[in-house]
Amino acid sequence: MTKPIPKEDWAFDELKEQADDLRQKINLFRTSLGRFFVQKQELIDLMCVAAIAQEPLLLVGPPGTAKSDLVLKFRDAIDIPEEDYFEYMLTRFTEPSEIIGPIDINQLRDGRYIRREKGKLPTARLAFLDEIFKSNSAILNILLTIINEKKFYQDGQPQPVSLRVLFAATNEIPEQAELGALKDRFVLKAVSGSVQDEHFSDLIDAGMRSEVYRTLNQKPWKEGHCTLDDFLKAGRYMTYLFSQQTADGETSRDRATFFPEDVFREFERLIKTLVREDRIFVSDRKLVKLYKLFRVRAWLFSGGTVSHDDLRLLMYLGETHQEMELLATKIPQLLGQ
Amino acid sequence: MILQFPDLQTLQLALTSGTISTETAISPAKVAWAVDGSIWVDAEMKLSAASKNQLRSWGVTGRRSAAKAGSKLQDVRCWPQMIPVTREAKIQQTGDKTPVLFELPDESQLPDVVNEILRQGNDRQSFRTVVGDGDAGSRVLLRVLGPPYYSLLRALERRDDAADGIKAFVERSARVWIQVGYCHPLAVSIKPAAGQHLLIEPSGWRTLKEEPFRDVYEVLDFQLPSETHELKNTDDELQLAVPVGLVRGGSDDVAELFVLKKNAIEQLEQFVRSSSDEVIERLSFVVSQGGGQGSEDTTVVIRIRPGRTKPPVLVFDGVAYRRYLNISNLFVPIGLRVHPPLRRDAVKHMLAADDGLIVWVEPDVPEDVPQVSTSTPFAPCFVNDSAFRPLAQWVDYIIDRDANAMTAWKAAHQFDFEGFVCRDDQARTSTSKKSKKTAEKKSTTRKLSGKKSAGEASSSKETDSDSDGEPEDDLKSFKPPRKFKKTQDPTDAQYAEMQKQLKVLESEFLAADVALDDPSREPMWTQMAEANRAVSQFVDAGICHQHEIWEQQIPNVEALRAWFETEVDAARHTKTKLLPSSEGIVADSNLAKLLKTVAPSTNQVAQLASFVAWGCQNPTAADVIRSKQVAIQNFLEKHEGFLSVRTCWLAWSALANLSGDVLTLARVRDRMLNRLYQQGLTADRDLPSFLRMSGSQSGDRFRAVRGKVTELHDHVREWCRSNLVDASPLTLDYVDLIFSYAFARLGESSLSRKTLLAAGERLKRNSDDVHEWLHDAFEYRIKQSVGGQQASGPFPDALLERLDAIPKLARYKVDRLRQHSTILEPHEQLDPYRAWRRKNLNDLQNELSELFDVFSRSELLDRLKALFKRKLDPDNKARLITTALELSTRLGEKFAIKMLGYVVSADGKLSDTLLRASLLEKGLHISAHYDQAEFAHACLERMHKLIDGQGKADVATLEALESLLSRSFSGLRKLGMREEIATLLDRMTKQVRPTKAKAIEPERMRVLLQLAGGWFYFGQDRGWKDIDAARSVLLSTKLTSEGHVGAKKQTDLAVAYIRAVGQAPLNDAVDRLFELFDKLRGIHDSATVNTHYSLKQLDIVDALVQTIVSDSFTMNKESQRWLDDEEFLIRRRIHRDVRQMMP
Repeated sequence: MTKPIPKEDWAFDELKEQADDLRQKINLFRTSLGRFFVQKQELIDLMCVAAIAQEPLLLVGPPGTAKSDLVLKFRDAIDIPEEDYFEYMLTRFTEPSEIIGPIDINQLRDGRYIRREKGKLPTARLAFLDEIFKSNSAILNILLTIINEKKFYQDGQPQPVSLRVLFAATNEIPEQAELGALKDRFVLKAVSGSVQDEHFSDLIDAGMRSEVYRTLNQKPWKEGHCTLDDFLKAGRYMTYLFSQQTADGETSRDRATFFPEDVFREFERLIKTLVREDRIFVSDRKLVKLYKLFRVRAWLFSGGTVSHDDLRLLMYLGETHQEMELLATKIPQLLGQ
Repeated sequence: MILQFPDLQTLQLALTSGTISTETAISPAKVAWAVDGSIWVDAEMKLSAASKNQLRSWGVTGRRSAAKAGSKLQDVRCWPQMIPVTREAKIQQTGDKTPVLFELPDESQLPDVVNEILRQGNDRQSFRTVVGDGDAGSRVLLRVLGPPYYSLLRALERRDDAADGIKAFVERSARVWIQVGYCHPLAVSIKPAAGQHLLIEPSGWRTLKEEPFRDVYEVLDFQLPSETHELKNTDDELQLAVPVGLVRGGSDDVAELFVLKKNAIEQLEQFVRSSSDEVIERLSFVVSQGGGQGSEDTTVVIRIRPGRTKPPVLVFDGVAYRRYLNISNLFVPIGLRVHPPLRRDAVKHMLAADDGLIVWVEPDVPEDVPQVSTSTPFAPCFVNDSAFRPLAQWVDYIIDRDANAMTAWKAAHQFDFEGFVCRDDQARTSTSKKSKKTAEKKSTTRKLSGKKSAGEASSSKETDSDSDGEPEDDLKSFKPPRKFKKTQDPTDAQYAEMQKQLKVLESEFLAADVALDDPSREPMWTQMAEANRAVSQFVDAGICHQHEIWEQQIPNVEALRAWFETEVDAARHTKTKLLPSSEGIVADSNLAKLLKTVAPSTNQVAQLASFVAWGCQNPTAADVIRSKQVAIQNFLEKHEGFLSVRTCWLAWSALANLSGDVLTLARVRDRMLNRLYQQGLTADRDLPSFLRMSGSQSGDRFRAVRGKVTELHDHVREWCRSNLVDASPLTLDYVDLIFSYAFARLGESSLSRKTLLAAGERLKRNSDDVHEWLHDAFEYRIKQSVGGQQASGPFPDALLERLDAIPKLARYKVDRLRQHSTILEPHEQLDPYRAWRRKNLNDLQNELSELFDVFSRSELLDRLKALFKRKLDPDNKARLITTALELSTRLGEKFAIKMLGYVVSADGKLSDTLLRASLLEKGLHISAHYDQAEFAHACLERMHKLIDGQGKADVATLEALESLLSRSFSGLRKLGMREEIATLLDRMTKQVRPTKAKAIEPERMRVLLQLAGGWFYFGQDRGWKDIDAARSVLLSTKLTSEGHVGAKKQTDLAVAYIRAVGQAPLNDAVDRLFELFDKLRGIHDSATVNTHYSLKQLDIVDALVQTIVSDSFTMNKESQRWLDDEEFLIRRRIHRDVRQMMP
């Protein structure tokens, strides 16, 4: 049986009252978690933004650059129950049953093709898929449906999944066209690079501390600042804000209120420049999602309107290593940062 | 007069078709736009009857009054103003050099916009403040060259909000600016009044007085902190003594040298017993008593010789060393490195400055302390490189038991093996001893390159035969078994196996540390030819066969037949007509048919050439050839351009031997030598693919270069554009033409064509003789390159005739570029001033320069003879001899030898260094070209004297030396004179390098750069210091601040720098070139020619392009050396054959 999806039908008024409190909790969470890493604050911030916006986040980087560690500590820090978390390293031999559960033999005898999804991706609210692009086409199709439509098929019938936050990691960004669709689902793709060149001693110190914690089975980052529900509530609250219309019913009140005209124009200019000069493909879907992410970041960081600084999220639009490198320098340069 | 035009299109048609005359069109008028779309124009105009009829036919009617127009008449400055601007569907991309005018309604917006554009790396901004009519405040006009699209978008987003938004205008024609995002159909034809700019926007036209713009840097303030701390130099000379030691590091590298001290000989014996001969082939060794550190024991040093494959992994009870910092003769223990980390050149200088020594550093650690924990002192040990001997020569494999003779059960199958003679044991022993002796003898020779050059080999070959006096018959009669009989329709596995075997053969070939003409390579060529043929690589198979035969005094008939069969196979493979019939016989009729073919394919010509080479040795075929000899000769002569020099010569020499016709052979020799002189060898035709690609992936290198050139093109354009100053902007189109040539040479034919077309369109727009002729000349050279030919030789007659019709000054501008461009005139140097010098009939230089335009051999000879009859002073005599030598490749060997005879005596009478250098360089080149060793040595000796006497060389001398060097290096190395170049380099370095630390003048620097480039050729990077010094001068304003003279010096230095850097390792070279064009400033041209192009800039671009398309840039050093050796061997055989046939 599918696990019932926890109720997330919080009312706007209820959330409005909690909004400031939620924001503070999440901010405390992200800055506290940053203490346990060297130069990964930006990635943790992104994880928080992605978690609130419920957009998948892809971490890219060579082995040993703390990609998995970031997710694992994030998971510990929000103290998510075991049954709500799913983590898997994909290979090209990974079978669908390893991700969405094996076929229930008893049910199969009765002619029903049902998967036992308990403890697998469909029942998890937070998931981490390592080496996501190594998966084969069977897994890819399942993932696409789950990420995009938040559902999977049981005996031919679509069923909603509990998944709210998805983090994925990869060592390399593939060029193959068949992986393009999955890549496109990740609006944000952030590079987790090596920090040893500039923070050698910090890295050694932090690494050794981490070793000690692991050996002694201690998790000091589990500070209870916030929970997954807090992220979901924040997300819900933002959704309510997005839905508000102005009196004429045509313009989003959210944009009129929270997205100043000059910043919006700058956003437009940036996108047009990237598309024209650097041939960076930005789909319409991504544009909309970007808007949402800017708003979430602005709310989380300042509680107010979107600023030029929030446009930094465009740095994470790159689809290839070259694009990522280019955007990492070009966006701050264009923004004058 | 009032005209009513039915619509806007008709008005536009009337203007563009000339029905409304230009005078009328540019005069003011009144216009009213009626509701029905018609346009009423009230203007003073005179219309011809034809124009009136034309207008009437288009529905234009004359009116007496505009009352019926329905709207008020408005004043316009001219007729084109009546046509409104239209919005562009897509904003056009502005180029890097396109000027854009931003109109900022508020002065306070200026810092934001300027900063934003600066942030994106564009500082080509200038501004002025203007006050418009009736405007409340002032506006700022910001002029930016090639603004970033991001900033341009600022103007576009406010397009409709004209009152307070930023507007941008782009210059569509001279001083006509149209708002970005709009276009006007007549923009190109509008000519604003002098001293005015015209701004066209949807709201109307505005004029702007022409006034200077201020550079933004004039108003930019860079604020520094108030407190400054000045650091002062102390007078004390500080000397820091830093002990150098070894620390841990670099454990991943592979060992390439082993030093054995414990039971060294026993270890070596044990090793050879258990190792494959393949591994042993890779090793050389040296045995010594007392191997460093005071030891008295026997020490054996084993070294893995460089090869194409990775070094084998060996295990010895000794210290394993790795090559350090890629210095070929310095080794440090595996797992250790030199501490403190020093620059490569410093390490080399300190430890391994002498390239003739192999140096390894032994850590000074007691034996019971194996680990080097902290910096440990070391002792450098060394041995002469020439002392190393190939280990394989010291190993004899013996079989303990007698061989049992096996008898065939049934002669069911006969293998197609060649007969061979096996040397008996006694002979083998004596040869083995002989090898040892020879190795010992050879060990005294010091080598510059890893492999022996072809010239060295021939001398060592002579030494071998001299030393033991044994006949070489044994060697000659040995024929390798022809293993690679092609299997009919091989399976994939068989095919893969054959390829694998071919690869092994190629690896063995590359690993062999003998010269290209060494007899031991002959069986290798045979095997590779068969292997290539088996895997259907017929071109390579053909080339291998030719190499197999090339050094044979008496050609091997079997090999010649195999070559012919290979060419026939190739023809079959490409479905070309076959020369032999299905029975394998070349019948008269087939041959006759081929000889009548008007446009034969390459393969058909190759079939004939190989048939002739083989057929002349075969009695039956020889009869067929004899019967058609004249036709064959005509056919070969006509189509020999399809063939490699080697193929041509094999066919022609066979023919000449058959008929005993020395004269024909001598003429062919002259043609072939001229071809080598003009074009050199082509790797594609003369080297098998594995040699072309030998070393570190030459193909990758070529692709990398090709990838970078497009990028470099943009950089160079930008550099050129920003340094034009007064020169014509069409210079950029010449840059495009030069790059089009580069693209063509690098195989990017479509890109080359595209670039050529675009540049051509712009250059021909002005109908200028100079631009048109130069464009056509470049186009001719580019098309030669695209067609795979060498871009050289005289231009077509039609083009030269057009040149004669060009007026004198324009002709000068054409000739000036021809004089400078090595693309247009790759071999001959023109004198652009000759038209002026003609007035003085006694001017010898004028007459000499005219000789280059004479293409009739007999006329040229007559004119030269007449000049020699004149009484000339020593300087002019030297000039005449130099020119005659230059032209001698056209006039043949006899003439050249005569001229060479004059060189030494003429040089003795000269005092001008420039003339001496020029004469001797030419003499050396031509004597090497015609294989005149005596003259070559005489020239070289004089050259050394010339160099030795230049201790305190002045500017003119240095320039002479530079020109001497630049022409000598490329030519001489192909003539097998590598040792001579090395000596020349060495002497020159000693003379030119200043002994005291002082500022080096640019002329000296150029010579040093030439030397640096020369050393790179030998794989030595001792020139970096000079390159860096030149770089710092080039990137500063030191020279350009000296005005025109400085700019010229800067240009020459930049050219020398590019050439030197072009010889460096690829990555370094590319980085340096990019950097140069990003940072080089201040080179511009104010000469007469700058109305058409900036010569100085084109000089630099020409040098750049010739550098990047040169073999030294696109091929790695190893492949280059193969090609140089090839050319030497080809020349040697050509001269040998002719000499042997001479009575």
